[in-house]
Amino acid sequence: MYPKQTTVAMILAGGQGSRLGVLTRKLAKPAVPFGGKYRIIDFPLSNCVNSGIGAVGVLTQYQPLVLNEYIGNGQPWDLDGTYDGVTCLSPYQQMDGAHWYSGTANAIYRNMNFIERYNPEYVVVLSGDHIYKMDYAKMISVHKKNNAACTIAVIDVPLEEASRFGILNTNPDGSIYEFEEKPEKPKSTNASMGIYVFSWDKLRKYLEADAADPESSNDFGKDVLPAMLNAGERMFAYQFDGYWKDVGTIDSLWEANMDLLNPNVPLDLSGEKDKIYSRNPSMHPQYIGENANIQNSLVSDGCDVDGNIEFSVLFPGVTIGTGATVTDSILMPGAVVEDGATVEYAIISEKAVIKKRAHVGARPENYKKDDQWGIAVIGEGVTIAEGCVVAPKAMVDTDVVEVADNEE
Amino acid sequence: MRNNVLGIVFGSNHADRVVALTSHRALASVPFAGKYRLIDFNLSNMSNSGITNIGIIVSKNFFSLMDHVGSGKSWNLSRKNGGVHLLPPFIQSGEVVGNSEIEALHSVKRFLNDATEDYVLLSECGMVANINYNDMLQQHIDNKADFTVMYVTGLKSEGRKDALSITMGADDRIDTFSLKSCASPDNNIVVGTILTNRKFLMELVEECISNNKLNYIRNVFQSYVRSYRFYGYEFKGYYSLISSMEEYFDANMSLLSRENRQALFNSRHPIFTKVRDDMPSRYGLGSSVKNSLIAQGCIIEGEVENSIIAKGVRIGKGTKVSNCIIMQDTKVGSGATLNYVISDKDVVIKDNRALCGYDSFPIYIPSEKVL
Repeated sequence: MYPKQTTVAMILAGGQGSRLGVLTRKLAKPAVPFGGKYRIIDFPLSNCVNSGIGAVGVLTQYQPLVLNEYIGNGQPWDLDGTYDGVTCLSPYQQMDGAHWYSGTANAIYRNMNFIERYNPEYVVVLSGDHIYKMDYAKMISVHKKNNAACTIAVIDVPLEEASRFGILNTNPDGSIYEFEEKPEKPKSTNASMGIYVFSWDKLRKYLEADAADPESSNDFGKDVLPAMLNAGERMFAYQFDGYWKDVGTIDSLWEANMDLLNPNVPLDLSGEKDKIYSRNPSMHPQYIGENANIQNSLVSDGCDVDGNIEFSVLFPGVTIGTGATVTDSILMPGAVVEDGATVEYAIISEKAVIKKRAHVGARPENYKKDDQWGIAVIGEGVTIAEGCVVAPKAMVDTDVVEVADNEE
Repeated sequence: MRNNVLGIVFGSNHADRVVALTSHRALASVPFAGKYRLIDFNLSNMSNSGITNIGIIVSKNFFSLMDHVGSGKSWNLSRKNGGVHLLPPFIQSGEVVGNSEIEALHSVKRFLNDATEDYVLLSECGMVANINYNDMLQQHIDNKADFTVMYVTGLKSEGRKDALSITMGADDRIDTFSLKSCASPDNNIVVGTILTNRKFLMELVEECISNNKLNYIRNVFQSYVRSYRFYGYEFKGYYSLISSMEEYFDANMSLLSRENRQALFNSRHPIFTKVRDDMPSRYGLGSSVKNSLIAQGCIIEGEVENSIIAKGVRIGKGTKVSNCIIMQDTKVGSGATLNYVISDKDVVIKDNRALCGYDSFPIYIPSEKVL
């Protein structure tokens, strides 16, 4: 018998994240490294712990090996309790056959037995691919006060960007009267953050109804939430005014990393309070050599830097050779940039090697047409041979051995 | 893989070697190289060598050590069978807590008795090295030795106190143990790591206690040098021995050499430590860092060279830090100048302060001081 937990959190971590290309070839999007030592899932997991939620389910489906191994028994997040903690929930065979999770709502539906054993009042449904710090306890108390069936966190976005988001239109008391998915003419700027608090008895009812409907795509945004609204359930928006970023694309992932270097961005990871926890590798402190010059960058344990680094994020165990230049880039664990190589506006994945005098990416100001320029991405373990040039916006997942023609 | 060796770490011995650093902590928990404690080397080497049943004998000032070691999880030593045990003084009626190794071993005789391993590795803190004990164990077994004593050569320090040196006879057995006031590089210096046999050790400790022979160098090593089978085992890798503040300073600084770092921090035999959830270190615009070892969680806006900067340190704008060891969470304001300074934990150095020690005499600032 499990002791009752007032709140259970369910983190949706099964998405492929196909827009991240080679970065998610071998791992699920929530396991993508972020911010110099974290993985994206550290944010929702740490938020749960910092909000006092001790029972967490992580729904995995796409390439779960790295994610499962990383979460392990949950000890780095203090989620290794005897009767609660974090559990990875993969699709499994049932009496009615073997099915993948057909949608976000289906993933929760198929794990109702996990939720039920805690006999909760509330279920928090979260995305595994957002970067933000939030106290869910505050949101739950507003949910309680409103006597709501569902509360959805929203963030104010600029009007010109509102048509990229799911928009919630609300009455003056915060109750929701309409959902608009990526509206052409948005009526408001309240964008859904993909963070839902449900009263469990209500959610269970609608999940069961949704599962019984053969027409449904079993998705929260498309099916379950509209069904609840149509049935007249009390649904409220919860205004969040901190930093929040969906890192589903190469550009937004790069931007969110760069945001950590901007002192004006309200996402502070240095404080003692509300820490973001992560699994920490055993590496010696970073060594900064005689010829190094590091400006406005984040550098982690195990790095060995003897080159020039500007506006970049270096994960553990990165090596930057003498005379190498790295600007506006993200170097994931174990990446190597050899002597004299140049990396600009790029994401270099784990253990990739940029050999001597190679050149990856370019600065945007050198490109007249916007569509030719973008962040260059080098896949995991890829080697870029000596003197080779990798164009901006390129996504490389096989070794580059020959010197390409210089098209500039 | 678990082997047949019980590990014993003397956590509190030799605290007098670096008095300033041990006023409120055991030698075992003296901070080192920005993110480690000295005991990390003992525990990591044991764990990497398959020694997974370990007792740490402590007598006083062991709060910070308890906090650091915790369940032993960080060293992969949180085990259902064995694992790491902190052994504080357990005083039975009529007993007195002593300071010698013999008394320390006597005080944990139950732990020694309950163990099932045939061999015991006795290990003092203060040696910084990456050691695989399995070669030593094999040699110990092949020699049918009673004691195998690890030693090193090439010790550069002239300031080393209580250097115990050994000479070997024609049969490779140890001939003499001699205490030197000053060690030279060709001396075979004993490093405080000794392999012996558990049952034999228990009998010997019992005998020493009943005859009041409490000094194990004089009463065991020197007295019995030819009656028991003593063998030497030379450790040939990179090492630092810490027996004084000068050696402590040099040992830290020696890690600014790539060769030494590669020898000590081997990814196949990692040195583990309890890691705090610090963010990566941030280097501000206008900062300048040269030839330094920097741990995580630092914010550096000034200049740093030839220094060891521990986790969570802040170096303000316009501040110049050279040849310093700055321990965790020390905050240095702006416009300050520090040269040859060892700052302990949680020190606050306000704006525009200037402190200058010298190569042979670094200034030490105790923890939590505000300057």
